[in-house]
Amino acid sequence: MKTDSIYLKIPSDKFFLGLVRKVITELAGGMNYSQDDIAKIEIAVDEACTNVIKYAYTSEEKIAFKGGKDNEINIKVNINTKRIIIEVSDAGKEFDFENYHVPDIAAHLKEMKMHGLGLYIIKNFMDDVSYKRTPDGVNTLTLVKYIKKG
Amino acid sequence: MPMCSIKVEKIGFKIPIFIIRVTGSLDAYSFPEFEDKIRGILDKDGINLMFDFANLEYISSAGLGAMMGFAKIAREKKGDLVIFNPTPKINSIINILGLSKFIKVFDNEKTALSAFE
Repeated sequence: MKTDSIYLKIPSDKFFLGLVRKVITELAGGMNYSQDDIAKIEIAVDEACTNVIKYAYTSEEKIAFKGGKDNEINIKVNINTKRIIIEVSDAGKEFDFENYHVPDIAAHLKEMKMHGLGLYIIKNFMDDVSYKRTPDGVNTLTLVKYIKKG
Repeated sequence: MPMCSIKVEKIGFKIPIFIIRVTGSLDAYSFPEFEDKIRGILDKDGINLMFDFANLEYISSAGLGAMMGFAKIAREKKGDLVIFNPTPKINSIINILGLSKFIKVFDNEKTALSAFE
């Protein structure tokens, strides 16, 4: 099966979120996803990058990948006819993924609160979500969405 | 890059209603300016808000969070907030997240107006 990879490197700046969404929707739009699934992939990637910008990198401290520039986000998209895998990597603060509990969304909404919703969206809109941090301090959130058989 | 603009129309006399037509993308980049503008309307006692989402291309959790916040303020002031004309994509995000249980969503402007009668 033919597999292709696309790499995107952006500064940790909310200004570039639109560009990331454009690239992702363009790619997913060319695959056999439903419009609903394309929207889910788009928002999940947007939320993943937003979390890096908001929480992994801080304005006080500049951190770079080995050989890279300060506060960069690396996005690797791997596609084939069955699924899309999106890896969002940063060199910022570690995220306690294991101990993150998805909020009780009904109670959350009842109180008209929406913060903390980003990871809820990511976990619920994608099929597989995993996080790893390498010893040299690179965080990678991996998002997978399979193409549903018609 | 992901810009968002709004156009505000005020209608009604006894009960002023603000129709807010949103164009573009409402994400973490554009939402602070959007939030400031809507809070400005709420502060001036614009408590009945109708959001036209016909030209809204994208909304993230930041944008949805802002909408929930505005609805809460409007209702505390005995007003309300409704959404109308969402594209299928925005409608689907609103429904998947269960937001439509808390904010009324209408197909068009006419039916949305009926929420304030």
